[in-house]
Amino acid sequence: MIIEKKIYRLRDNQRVKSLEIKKDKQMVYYSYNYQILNGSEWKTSVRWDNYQSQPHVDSFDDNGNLLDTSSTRDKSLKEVLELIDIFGKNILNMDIKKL
Amino acid sequence: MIQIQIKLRKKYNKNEKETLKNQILDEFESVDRLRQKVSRAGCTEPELVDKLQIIEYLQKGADYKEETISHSEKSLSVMTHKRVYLMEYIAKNEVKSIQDLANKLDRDYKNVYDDVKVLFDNGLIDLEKVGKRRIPILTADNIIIEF
Repeated sequence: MIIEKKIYRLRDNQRVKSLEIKKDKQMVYYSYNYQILNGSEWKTSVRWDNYQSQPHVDSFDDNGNLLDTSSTRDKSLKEVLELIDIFGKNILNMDIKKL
Repeated sequence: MIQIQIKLRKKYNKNEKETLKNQILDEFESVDRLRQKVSRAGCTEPELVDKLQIIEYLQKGADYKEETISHSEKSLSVMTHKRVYLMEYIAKNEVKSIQDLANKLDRDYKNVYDDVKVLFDNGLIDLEKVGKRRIPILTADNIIIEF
């Protein structure tokens, strides 16, 4: 079993923080958090995770309050990084669950 | 255009994993208490969900690795010779504070403080708060520069 925490600093004020837990090379848990630096604190804007084996995506406001949660298909870290690369902060204006 | 990536990698040893477990337990008293909080908070506090997963799998004996990947060329530009030496020094020696580090490097406190702050701002080192002191620590076993 292995727990892997990764932080991708994309720009000075944007990053993706991921947590992946694998058992026998199979992913048992993941969370991918797109975060924006707010003052000296990183705030999650969009988060994909599969807690309790239910893949979903959550979006949050600038203060970290949950705005929306929707079921979605499983995402990989590569997909999330590609989405953030394409949309950047505009991802908040998209229909995230369909991406 | 050349794409530069700086990777900081760290694999926790047994003692470091114990410390991580204890930090989470100190914060929530017990795994059950954390589980209850997660159950109540659900998606509103995602950090708690991650902490619960981490401690549950650490208790099952999982390994723990951390990696920070920076695509910013700025991170590379801040790595002057003196700052790289500073990072090498804190990786290999015990340092009790920024003042202690300045003394051991035989450098001016203000200059060392500024270097520590720049490295911290770029995610290249961490500052551990112990009482009123801030102890500079390296967050990686390996620093890799990839093109």
